[in-house]
Amino acid sequence: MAKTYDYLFKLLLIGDSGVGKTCVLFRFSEDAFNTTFISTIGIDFKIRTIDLDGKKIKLQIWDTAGQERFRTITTAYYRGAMGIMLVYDITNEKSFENIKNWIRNIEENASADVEKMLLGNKCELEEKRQVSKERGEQLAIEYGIKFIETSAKASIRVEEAFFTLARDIKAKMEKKLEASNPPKGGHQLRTSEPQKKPTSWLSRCTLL
Amino acid sequence: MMDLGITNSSRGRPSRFVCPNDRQLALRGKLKTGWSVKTESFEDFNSSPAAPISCLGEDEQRAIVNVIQRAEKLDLTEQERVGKLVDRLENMRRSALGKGPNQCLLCGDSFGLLGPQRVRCQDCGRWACQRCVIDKSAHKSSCASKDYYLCMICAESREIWKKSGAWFFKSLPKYILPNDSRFKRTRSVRVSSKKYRDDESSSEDEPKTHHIWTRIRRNSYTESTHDIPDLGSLASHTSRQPSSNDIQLSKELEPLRNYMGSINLASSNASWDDFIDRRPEDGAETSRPTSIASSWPWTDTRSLEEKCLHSPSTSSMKSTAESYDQRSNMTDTSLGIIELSLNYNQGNNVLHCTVYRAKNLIPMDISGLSDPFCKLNILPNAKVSTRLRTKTIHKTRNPEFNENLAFYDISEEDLSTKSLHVLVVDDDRYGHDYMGEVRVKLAKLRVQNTIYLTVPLQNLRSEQTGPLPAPELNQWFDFDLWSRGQILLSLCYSTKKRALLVTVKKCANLLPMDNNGFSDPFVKLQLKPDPYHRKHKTTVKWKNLNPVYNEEFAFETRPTELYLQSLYITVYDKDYGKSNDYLGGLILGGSGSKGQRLKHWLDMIRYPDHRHDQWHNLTEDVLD
Repeated sequence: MAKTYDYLFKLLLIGDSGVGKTCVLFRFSEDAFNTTFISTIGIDFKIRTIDLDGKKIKLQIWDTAGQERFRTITTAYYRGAMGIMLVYDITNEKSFENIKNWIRNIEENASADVEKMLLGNKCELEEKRQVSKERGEQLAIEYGIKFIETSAKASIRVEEAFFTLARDIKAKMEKKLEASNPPKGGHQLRTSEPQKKPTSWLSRCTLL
Repeated sequence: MMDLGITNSSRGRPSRFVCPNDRQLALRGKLKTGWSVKTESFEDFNSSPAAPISCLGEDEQRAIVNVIQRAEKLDLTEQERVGKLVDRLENMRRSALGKGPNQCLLCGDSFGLLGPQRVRCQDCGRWACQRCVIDKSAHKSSCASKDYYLCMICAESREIWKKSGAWFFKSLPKYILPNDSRFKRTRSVRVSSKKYRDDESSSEDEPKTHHIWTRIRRNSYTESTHDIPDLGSLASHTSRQPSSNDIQLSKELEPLRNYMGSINLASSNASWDDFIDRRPEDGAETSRPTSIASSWPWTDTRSLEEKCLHSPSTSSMKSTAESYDQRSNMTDTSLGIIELSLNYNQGNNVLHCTVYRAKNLIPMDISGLSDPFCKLNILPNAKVSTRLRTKTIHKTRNPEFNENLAFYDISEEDLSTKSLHVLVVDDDRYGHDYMGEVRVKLAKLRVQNTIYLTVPLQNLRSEQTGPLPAPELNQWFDFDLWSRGQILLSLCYSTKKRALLVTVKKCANLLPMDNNGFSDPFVKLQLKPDPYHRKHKTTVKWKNLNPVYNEEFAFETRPTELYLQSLYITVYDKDYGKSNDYLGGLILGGSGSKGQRLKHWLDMIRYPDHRHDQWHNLTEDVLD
């Protein structure tokens, strides 16, 4: 039997081919790194349960293929995601420019209130850098999302990135539910109550 | 591997114009980049590959299917987890004791000076004691200004929304309740349909696989909030499928395709409607109308009765007590049993019949009780002198009659040819309802003077099939129950018209009232209580004892009021120059009627927009 957990969050990694989505995920889930490049076939996912403010959160992180030919399969998984990591390669200008296309893809396919995050990967290759940190930050501000530069190889801020995203999702959830207005269309008890009240009021009226 | 975007353009296929949907247009409008500028790379980016499956190698396809299967397994455990949560909440709700504002919603403790202090739940607005609420104001610093409590039930349902992910997807995902039989049933249905599809398209691999990917594509554009969770039961399919170990790719893809085929059927919530809709696919399941009927508390027994009626063994009666006991073990006692003793006095040709009691009779009125009495008769050739009845025992299903009834003038030959007929009837002001009957051959009395019987009641006539019982049963009838004839009515509550539609279809076996041996019947309908005092009348069918009307009348009313209203149906013989003769009447309604009439009425309320046809007996009691 699997470990018990409180919440299940579904995350998604997208970005151009070769930016290191699989490696980031591999680092996060197994704390390991593989230098050989193996292109992801279609989709894959990894599980990791993290502890956040005393709650066990199971993260199901979907890793997608960046290649165009898998696009139909990967887009099918956008809608189920609660959080999406947009990954680009700081040594690859093109991958950064494509981020806005990925954002557009998200807007077209994912849920409207999905939590997003921008990840500039391979930050250990400072000498090959093509995209400055400022440009990344600028883009993140433009879209109103968080930005972190990571390195899967050197294990820089990968954990932090996932924890930040999970925390944001959790905060959003709490904001949604702990607010004074209860969940809409919650359950039978709630929906039936308001109907009862007016009838009793009406019948009282007719009696008078 | 070639990149598909290049493949498309190198083939020189012009990209077909597809009108973007509203969602896309709206989103593009919001984007700062603008959408009128369409670079070639962008076109590549968003162009839909027509058949990507053809570009994927077999290894790749298998890898993807493996991933999907892995995800399915995970989803299944997740569904079970959510199922447990839902079950927990349901249990909580079921065990909530409180009734009214003076009691704690959960534990049922009454509030008061000595009792616990009451607190209002912010979500449902009901009162609970301090032990049964969670103080949310302590947790939250932001709006801690005023007290903020949640009762356990509301707190728990909020937790479910969080834990199941419903907060994000805005509805509870599919879940499997612990030991949920309903889910198993659907699974079996799916399996059967899968087999069918297997047979159907085992030859063509290529279009089949193509199909999967087009399905995936389509799903990515549907508004369903649960594409990934919806991939639900694939794992269950594949794990059960014996061929999943085969290397053949087509076989492995088969469940995916089937699953995708059913994705449109499956709603994100495992709602009951889905199960009902799929019922007809399952051969063993009954069709919808019967499932509607089965919600009535005692229709189960009815269906058993019918079985009992059709089985040949029940029609042949044995008369010894032992054999009856045996039979009572075998045949169903769903209509209840009756205990009686017979004693034949040869000296004065008197047959003494003692009816002791009946047990487990079927309920007839809305409170689940009956007002039974027994009618005893010596058949065939029933005479008025051989017709006896017990007193009515009110409001019980286990009446104690303890009555001795004597039939006089019963010769010894009669014993060999005739039988005693015991009919159990529900007493009602407006007509008597049949509750079962028993026939006992008297031949046994020639051997032994006294016999004791404990026999199950049977249903030898079914009122629903037609106005008259089967001819071979005719001789067993005493007609006074049915002497006024029958009427076929169709009731339907139309939610569109907000009215009760009553169709008077036909009458049968009406009494002749005129000198010519016929009557000139018409039917009057009245809904009571009715603020408008509406009355409806059918046309007069001249010189006809089995008139056919097929006339529809509407009574505008609300469904909630129908429970309190009753439909008065009266049949009159039209006469000129003098008052119309009363032919028979009937009341259908929630408060006034019982048995079949009550069932008919409640069915009409419960299943609006359905026609409910039923024969009813007319009674001689004059209705006001």
